[in-house]
Amino acid sequence: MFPKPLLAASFEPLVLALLGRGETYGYEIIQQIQKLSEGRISWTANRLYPLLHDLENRRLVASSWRHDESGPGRKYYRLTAKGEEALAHAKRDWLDLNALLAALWGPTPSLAT
Amino acid sequence: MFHLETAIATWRQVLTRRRAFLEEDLDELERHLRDHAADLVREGVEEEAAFRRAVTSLGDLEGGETEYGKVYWGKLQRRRAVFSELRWRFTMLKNYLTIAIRTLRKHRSYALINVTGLAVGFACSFFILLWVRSEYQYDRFLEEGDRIHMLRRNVRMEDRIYTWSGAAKPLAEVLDRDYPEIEHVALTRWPESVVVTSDDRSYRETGLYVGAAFFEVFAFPFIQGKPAEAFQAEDHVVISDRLARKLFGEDWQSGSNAVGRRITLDHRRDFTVTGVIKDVPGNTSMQADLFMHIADFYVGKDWVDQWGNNGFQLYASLREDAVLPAVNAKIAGIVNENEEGADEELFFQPFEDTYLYASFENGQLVGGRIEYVRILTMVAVFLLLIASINFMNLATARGGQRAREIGVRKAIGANQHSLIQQFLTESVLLTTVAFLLAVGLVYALLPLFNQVSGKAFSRAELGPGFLFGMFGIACVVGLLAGSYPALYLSSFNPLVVLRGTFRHRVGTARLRKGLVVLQFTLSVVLIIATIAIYRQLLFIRTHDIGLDRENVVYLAMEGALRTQYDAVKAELLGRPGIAGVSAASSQPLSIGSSTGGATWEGMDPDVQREFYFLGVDYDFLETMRMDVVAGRTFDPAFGADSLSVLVNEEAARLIGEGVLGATFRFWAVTGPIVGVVRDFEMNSLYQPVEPVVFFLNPAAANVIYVRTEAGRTRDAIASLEAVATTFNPEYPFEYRFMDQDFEETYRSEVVLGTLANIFSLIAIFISCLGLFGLISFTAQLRTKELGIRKVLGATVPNLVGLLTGEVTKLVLIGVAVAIPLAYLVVDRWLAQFESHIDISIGLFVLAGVAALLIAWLTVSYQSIKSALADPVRSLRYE
Repeated sequence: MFPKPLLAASFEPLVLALLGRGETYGYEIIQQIQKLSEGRISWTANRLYPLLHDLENRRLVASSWRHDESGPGRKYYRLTAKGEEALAHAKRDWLDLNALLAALWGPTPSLAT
Repeated sequence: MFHLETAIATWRQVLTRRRAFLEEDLDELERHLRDHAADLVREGVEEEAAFRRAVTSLGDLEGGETEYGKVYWGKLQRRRAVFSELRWRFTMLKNYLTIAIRTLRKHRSYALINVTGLAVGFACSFFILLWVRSEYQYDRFLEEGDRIHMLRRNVRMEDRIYTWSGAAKPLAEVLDRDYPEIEHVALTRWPESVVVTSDDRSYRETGLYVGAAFFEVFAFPFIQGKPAEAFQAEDHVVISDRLARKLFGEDWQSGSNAVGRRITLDHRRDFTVTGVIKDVPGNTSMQADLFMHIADFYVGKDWVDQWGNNGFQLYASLREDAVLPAVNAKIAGIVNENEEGADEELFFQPFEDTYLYASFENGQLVGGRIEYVRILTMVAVFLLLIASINFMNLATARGGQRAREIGVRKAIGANQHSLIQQFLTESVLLTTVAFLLAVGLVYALLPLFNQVSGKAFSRAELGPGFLFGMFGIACVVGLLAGSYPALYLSSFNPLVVLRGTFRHRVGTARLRKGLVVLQFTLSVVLIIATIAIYRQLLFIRTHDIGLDRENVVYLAMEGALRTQYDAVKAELLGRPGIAGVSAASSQPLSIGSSTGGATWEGMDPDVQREFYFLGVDYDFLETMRMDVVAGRTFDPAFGADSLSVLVNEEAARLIGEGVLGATFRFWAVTGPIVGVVRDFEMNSLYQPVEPVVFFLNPAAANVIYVRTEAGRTRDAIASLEAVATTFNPEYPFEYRFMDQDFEETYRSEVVLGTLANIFSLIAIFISCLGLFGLISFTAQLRTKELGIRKVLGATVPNLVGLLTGEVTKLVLIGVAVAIPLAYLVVDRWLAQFESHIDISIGLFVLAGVAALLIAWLTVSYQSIKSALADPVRSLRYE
């Protein structure tokens, strides 16, 4: 497991990133993140859905219902144009941060001089 | 047998009750649950276990509800469903209201006690706030009024600093000429009575001599004329709309111009009206209907040009960018630079503050009328507190009765949140009813309040703004007082309550007792303050002021009354009802004229003290019934008495040994001191007695004093009128009683006293109302206990003692806490009087005993009733 603050900070970017790979629904998102993180991240429905709804309120994602035979339909979410933009932003921020950390922890001795 | 569909339906039903979930959210969650459970079954998990694991992995319910709640409003907005949400909320509110009304109907006595207490408390605080507001608005009606300043002087004499507001004419000229921060300077005299004649009709009006720039300092709105051109010659006057209507007819504005018309003042000479201003509002100290040019006052008076003659008030308007402390620092020493031997510091006080802050001690502002505003504001807060405490106490004490209702509600699914809303709705409903009643009371009792407070509030002043503010206060009180019972009652555990073993928490009983103590503390503070104020007022009325003010009538010495004074005096003395006639230069109880230039034989040159002087006629001391403690009074038998002077005891102390016979000098008067007069209140009870010198000068007198025979006032007035109208046919006859004047001087004290009396009584009444309600509930709760005690042999007095003992303890604690608090308040108030009563232990004992007696009386009915109750009945119950 990751520490809590890290999980909280990465929650939204990760969801945006997953949605960036294509339209999907809540249950699948939870399954996917569990698989991709090798069990180190597991989200509960109680947290994920409010976030999705919030993204929808902010017009970053759009949703549509699809019905099949078993019970109520599934609600699918996809990124809007605004969502793509937000994803690009998040990507840049995290990569920058990553680069900074890599530089600080890397073998380059330049900082010492 | 586990059935998945039933399980899912039950799960969903629980969530439906939670407000944060929309129907479609539940659809989404349900599908999630089904997908998860199906996957688990596929992996080989049993159906029931799969369902449970799927539900668990959704996360905890409370946290989920909070998270869903955060995005709820956003969703509604997105779905344009805000309206239906509001409708739903409104329906809920309606439901709460219905239940609240039902509950209140069922517990009528409870509702009645609560509403009465609150309504009376509200009504009183509204009255007080109305009064406080008008006090704060006093003198604050002029545009740019914050730029007007009044000049005050801190004059050092011996070791004290006296703060006076008088100013000299040369000072005004210097300020106007040399100080760019000052825009305009205007001197004024004090309001005086002037006889105004137009078209052969005469009226007695209040006139004020003012400097030419007066209307540029005070921006009174003009109906006709121009402020800057109002006083170009010494015979120019400005009148109020009211006076214009009186002189030129109601329709003066439609007829010819008022400007340019001639009026006669004091039958002396004609003046030209140069302007008409809108009537001066009632709540200002600048009360006058006639404004005369001060240049007219200067005529024939050389003294006005001296630096030491502070016969005026000085007002100035400062430039917008002027900084008061900087200006004060610049002007402080002007008089010292110009007048030899002067030791005084000048400063400006904002005009708008002069009404509430006019009391100085040793050069420092110590308050003034603001004290009364503070005292009454405190009373208003006390009243609201006491009423709120009633509310809280009754509501929590009643909790036992409602415990079952709360239990049932919770068992069928109400959560704490909705119960809190329910209880708050009840308390806001009660406060609203109380508020409406209070507004009704205020409307109905407004004339009475006007009479008591001496203000002239109209019902129009209770406009929407005021009502809205008051409703705000009422709601805050309702919510605050309702919140504790709401939290407490809604926290009951339904299991415990429904099992029938409900007990109040120990903590609440303690809190309730604490609140009762607080109530009695506040009430006792009010009782003590009321008694102290009452005693001080009584003291003012009965205190020996050094002369007999009863049965003395006085009138202005004008026209023939002045020129033929001796004939008038002889004529009056021969008429029925008149015991004595004399005259003086001013009122002996408020001598305005003083001088720093008095000297006497053997004077210590370091002594510097202001002497107040009074020019009098023979018989003045006899007419006023003032006592001579040494020497003699003025006597026509001594030919040279026109040069003799009398001094008061304070002056005699200052002069020291050999006062009788010593030569006394001030201005043009030089003569021996022939007598010492017993000290009298020559200023007011706020100030110490200062040295006074009497000199014989009937010609300089301004006021005729007539002592009437006791019980024959009517005859005396008739005689006075006959004589006055014979000698002075063209002057309206007007007279005043000295004792009425005296009462008026202390009118604010009387008003405060009366208001404090009334409101304290009401505070005590509300406290008792609450105590009565509380003891009724306690007795009810203890019915069984009392029954058992009685069966076991307790007597009625035993039981009454048991019930009242508790109350006695609480009241005594309240009294103990109240005494030091009350001491501080009373001591502070009394300190402003130079002569005042002493705070005695008796005062506190009296208040404590009164509070205890009132509390006992309140609870006696209920305790005796409970103690007398037949134990068989109370024990058979249940």
